[in-house]
Order: sequence, then structure tokens, then C-alpha cells
Amino acid sequence: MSKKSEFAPSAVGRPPKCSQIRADLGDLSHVDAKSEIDLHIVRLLALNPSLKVRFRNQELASLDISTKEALLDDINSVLGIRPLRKRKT
Amino acid sequence: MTSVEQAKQFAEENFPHGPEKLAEKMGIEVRKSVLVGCDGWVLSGPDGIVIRLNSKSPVQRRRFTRAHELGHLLLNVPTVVGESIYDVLKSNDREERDVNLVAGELLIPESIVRRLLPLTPVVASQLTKLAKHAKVSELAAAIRVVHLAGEIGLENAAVVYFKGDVYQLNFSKTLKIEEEWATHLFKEAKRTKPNPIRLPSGNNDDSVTVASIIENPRLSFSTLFVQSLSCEAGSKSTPEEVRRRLETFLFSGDAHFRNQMQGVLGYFRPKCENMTLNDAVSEFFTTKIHRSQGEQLKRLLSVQGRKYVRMRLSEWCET
Repeated sequence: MSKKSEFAPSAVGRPPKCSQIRADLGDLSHVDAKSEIDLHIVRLLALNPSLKVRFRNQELASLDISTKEALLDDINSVLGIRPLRKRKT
Repeated sequence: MTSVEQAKQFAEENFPHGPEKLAEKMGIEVRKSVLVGCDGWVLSGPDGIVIRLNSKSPVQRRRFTRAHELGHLLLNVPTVVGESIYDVLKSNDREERDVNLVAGELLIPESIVRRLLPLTPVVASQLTKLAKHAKVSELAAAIRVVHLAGEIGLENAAVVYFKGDVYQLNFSKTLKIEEEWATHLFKEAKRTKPNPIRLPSGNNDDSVTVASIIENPRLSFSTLFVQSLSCEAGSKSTPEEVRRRLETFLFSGDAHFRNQMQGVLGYFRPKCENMTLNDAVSEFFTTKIHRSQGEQLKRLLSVQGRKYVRMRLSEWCET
């Protein structure tokens, strides 16, 4: 994952409590995410460890944009994330 | 959540559509789209389960991916995004291998393998039949047989992967093959294709290695199916070899006679469904040989000719 990301491992400050560390976060924290959509996917997965997804070679570079969009669409779908409807006037 | 055992039983009851029906039963939404860089994934969340498949993949490969993703779900093993079928097959990861094992069980239940491959040696042409029956690729069928070989009385079996003519790896629970030996077998099997090659195993016994090439027309690698058997078991002709020998005797370059017989047998096939083999053979020789005359009739009525007709009808008759 990019160092700019808020999910990158921190080397400073007080170490987190054991209860705050999720087993699968270690995998995701090493995923090489280069674009906004990569970051968005990795964030969603980090926030929802029950989805249980790993990436081959810890990167998303082998996937094209439409594949990433399909993955994001499926993640949103199973998490129940839907676009807000426009209010009827 | 369905257990692995329940899933296996369900798949057997719904063969050959086990994975499809299982996904339906588990309320899984299956989506298809063009994917680049992977064959599919499964995601399970509070609002449902989705399996995504690559719509550009051939049907058999999509079936394997669907079963593989169901395996991830049943074993509660994280899905891996970005894997190709080759990555899946060569994976050393124990969890991935377990997932593949479950996928194989869903696609080709053990009872089907036992029924279609009762005897050794097993060669590529029989794997093709099994694959056709189970609607999977020849490679998936071969891997399933390799998994089961020791348990269903086939002694041993291995699948060896090659890229071009270069050895990559071999997969077996029951047979160890050295790279040099595998490469030699591959070259020899290419020469004798579609017939298998039989060579002395080179151990200090009388065992025979039987090897044949499995067709993977849509994959970038070649595979060899190998068994090491006792001399008696390994030297036995496979049904396909017997059939080829009988056809050579019966038709001996007479394409017209061959086509005529194919037509007659094809026309007779629907009748076989409700007949015993003996009745079908008797009926065939009473009603269907009047078109053949002279030398053709003589060959058809010979021991080999009768054996050939019996062999063909046995594929379609009640046991």
C-alpha cells in the first residue's frame, strides 16, 4: 500500500494493543496500491476483514481498470453499499 | 452454511451440474464480465455472496473457477484475486490445494471416476471421455484421477506439466517422477500420440510406465498423464487401443465402408437405450447388415467384426 495512505503501517507513536490488530491487516498493509481505485479497494477490505481477500503477489497491477471496477462493484454489493438516491422534488 | 460433506453429496446428486446447483442452493449471485489478470473471485459479506467469473474464459474453465471459488467459501479460505488457472494448479499453498481438492470433488464425484475408469492403465483418451461426461477440461479430469488414484484401485498416477518441451513440475500423491525421465516420456508420448507409450520403468522390477499426452488446447502448457504399473497391468490394451485395432482390421483404408458403418451405428443408437447388450447385438446383425456385401460383409461377420459392433453398442446399451 502507498505510504501516503492512512492504512500504511506506522513506525512511530505508541504501539497498538493486541486487540486492535487484525490478523489479515498484515497482508493488506503490504499490498502495492498505486491508483485511487486500488487504494479504495484496499481500504474497504481493511475495514471489512470478513471479506477475506488476498492479492496475488501483493499487488493489483495485473488487473485492468474494468476488472478493478468489477471487484469494487462486488465489494460494495456484498457490504450493502449503494449510491444515495436523489430526493424526489 | 453448507458443510463440505453436504456439498459433496449434493454435487453427486446433481452431477454433472453440481457446482451450478450448489451455488443456486446457497443463494450465491454469480456474475460474469470480462476480467483481465484473473479468472474470478468470491466475496461474502452481510448483504450476500457474489462469485465473479471471467466471461471470456472457456466454459470448462469457468466451471472449474466456479467450483474453486465455492471451495474457498466452503473451507473458509480467503479468495486470491489475480490468480490464473496455471497459478491455481501449480500452487504449493496447502490451503489452495485443499480448495482445488474440493473443487474436483464438486465437479467429478468419486463414484463417477470409479464407474468410468474401473481398470488400469488409464490413458488420455479415457480422461477425455471422463472430462466430456463431467463437462470439465481434460486437465481437470486428470488431476481428479491423480487425487483419487490410490483410493480407487488405480495404484498410482501423476500429471506432469511442460512449457514447450521443458519440464515445469509434476503433481502426484502416489508417484515420484524424476525430471529427466519425465522429459523422455514426454518426447516418446508425443511420437506415439494418440496412443500411449509403454516403457520399462527402469526400477529393479518388471514394472511398466504408461504415459500419454493430455490435450490442453486453450492453455499455454502441455501435460502428460503417467502411471507406473506391474508388467501385467501396464501391458493391457485400453478400450480405445482395442477399438483402433479392430477398426484397422474392419475398414483397412475403406473410408466408404467406415462412413457407412458410422451412419448405421448412429441410426441404431436410439434403439439401444432400452435394450440389453445381447439383444442389441442380435437385433443389429439381423436388421442392419444387409447393406454390406462381399468382402465388407465377410469382415463384419468375422470374430473381430462382431467384437467391434459389440464394443460400440456396449457404450449405449443398458448393462
